[in-house]
Amino acid sequence: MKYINRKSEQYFYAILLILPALTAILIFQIWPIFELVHVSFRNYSMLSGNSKWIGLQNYIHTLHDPLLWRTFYNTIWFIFLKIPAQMIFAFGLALLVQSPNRGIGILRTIILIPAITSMVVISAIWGLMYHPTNGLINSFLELLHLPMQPFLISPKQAMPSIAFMTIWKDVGFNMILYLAGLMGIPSSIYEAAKIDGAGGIQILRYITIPLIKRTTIFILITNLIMAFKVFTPIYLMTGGGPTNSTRVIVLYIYDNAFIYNKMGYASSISIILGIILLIISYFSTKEYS
Amino acid sequence: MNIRLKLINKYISKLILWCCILILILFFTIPYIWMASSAFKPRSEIFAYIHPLSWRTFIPINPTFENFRTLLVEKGFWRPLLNSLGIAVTTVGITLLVSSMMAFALSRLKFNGRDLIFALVLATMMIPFEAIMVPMFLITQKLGLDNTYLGLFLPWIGDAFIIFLLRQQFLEIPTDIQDAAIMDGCNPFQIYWKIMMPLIKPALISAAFIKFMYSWDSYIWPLIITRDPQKMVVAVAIGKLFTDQDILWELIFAGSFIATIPIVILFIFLQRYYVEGITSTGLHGQ
Repeated sequence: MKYINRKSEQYFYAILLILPALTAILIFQIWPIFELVHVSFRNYSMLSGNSKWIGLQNYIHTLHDPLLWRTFYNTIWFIFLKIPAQMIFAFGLALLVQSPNRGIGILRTIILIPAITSMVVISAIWGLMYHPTNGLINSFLELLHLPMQPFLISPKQAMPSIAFMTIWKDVGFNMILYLAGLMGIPSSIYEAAKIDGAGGIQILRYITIPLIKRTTIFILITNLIMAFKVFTPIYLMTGGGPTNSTRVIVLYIYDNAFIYNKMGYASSISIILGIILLIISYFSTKEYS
Repeated sequence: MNIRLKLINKYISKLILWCCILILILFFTIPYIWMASSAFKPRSEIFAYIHPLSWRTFIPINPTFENFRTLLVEKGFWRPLLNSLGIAVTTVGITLLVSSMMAFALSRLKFNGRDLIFALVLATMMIPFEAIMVPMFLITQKLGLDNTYLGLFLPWIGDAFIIFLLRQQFLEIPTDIQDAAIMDGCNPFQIYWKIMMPLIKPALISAAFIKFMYSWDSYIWPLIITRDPQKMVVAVAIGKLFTDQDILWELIFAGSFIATIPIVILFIFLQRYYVEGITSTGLHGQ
């Protein structure tokens, strides 16, 4: 391999080409990490500009904050409601949409449209659909002679309602990744199984599912990271209520930092969240390198 | 007899399949149909036909542009629309330029520390925005960029996913092309701009579309970094319509319609690039 020759010229251009993006990354990605650690040891008030070193107090406070534990519980409840259902649904859709049929191509496009629509728009439209008296979903239940539901204003139903909406939005994204995984399975394996007399369910159970295990793990990890960071639909649709039943981690960080003006405490919760997500991504790189 | 039974069986399973497909299509499109039709309905008509459910729920009987007029003119929604469009176009342009420059240097030039810088870029992919939004806000404020257009897009121009995607593309170009260009007396910048960039056009389109959507949809950052209503973006404006005390349904529908339809049309044309982009990086628009 022959690269461009003269060394000093090489360096000049390398610096020129790298500097703009690198500067942005250093200022807005790397510096915040140090700032985050720094602020998490302080009592930082944005209004007065006061900043006092208070050692581990913010971290000690996280251990004694029942609301924080509630947000962790709620986030995990959200993940539990969303991810298994979403992945099974996505896998089914990928199997259905796999065949090269014109009508099915349209279905594939349609399933992806929610994935590319803004979360704010979807939260607003679904928020109206979930409306207890004038919502579309209750009209639909009425048509089927089923009882009307309170949805977002009920502490029991709010989180499942939001999880359902995000499944509707994100399933297409998982489906695309599953489709890419399915395309990676050589057709000769399927043919061999058919010759050996395997039926549709057996092929699925003993060939397709084991062979896309890597894809499944990748999708699981991506979904976990995305679900831990859920904020927009909850901020807009319930604001954490009713009675804290949908208050999730990122919403609590946002409220502490920008509503209660407790930047230090918000930073220490951010660090806990960051560590959880780093552990999850660490497993993904282990799986993939 | 047996053949006939088989034939009937085949038709029934076909029928079930098509019923499933129809239900799925309705499941994914009904919110859009409801949104689009209600955007053209007067307020009274929206509520009059919500229940019982009928075709009138989904089709405007007296279609009107009144909602759009109220929203754009009286509520000044044109301003967030222009802001979002301007910010998205600027973000895409600058991101593609600086990220492709870096990707080119990291794949085609040889210098000390190259692998270290690439490792640093890859590491930033693991940093979740939500965990660093507080210090990002504090730093942007320190730099005096809060409440400015610059502050809205500058933090997002060094995009590790795009650098990664484009670097892969540059690596696939045969070195012969580069060698020939050196023989002809091109400097590295000319090789990058005149020879390499045209060769990775499909990847650039994928990256541009994903970044455009990312910028158009971004919500948390504009929400925390801008207070000035003049600098509000479209996502924040719609969110505000929805969280206001007095919810104006018809305006939410109209605003959502304006914010969504251009993206959906763009997506239908660029679908192939989008799918390639997310399957090759595992990255989603958000």
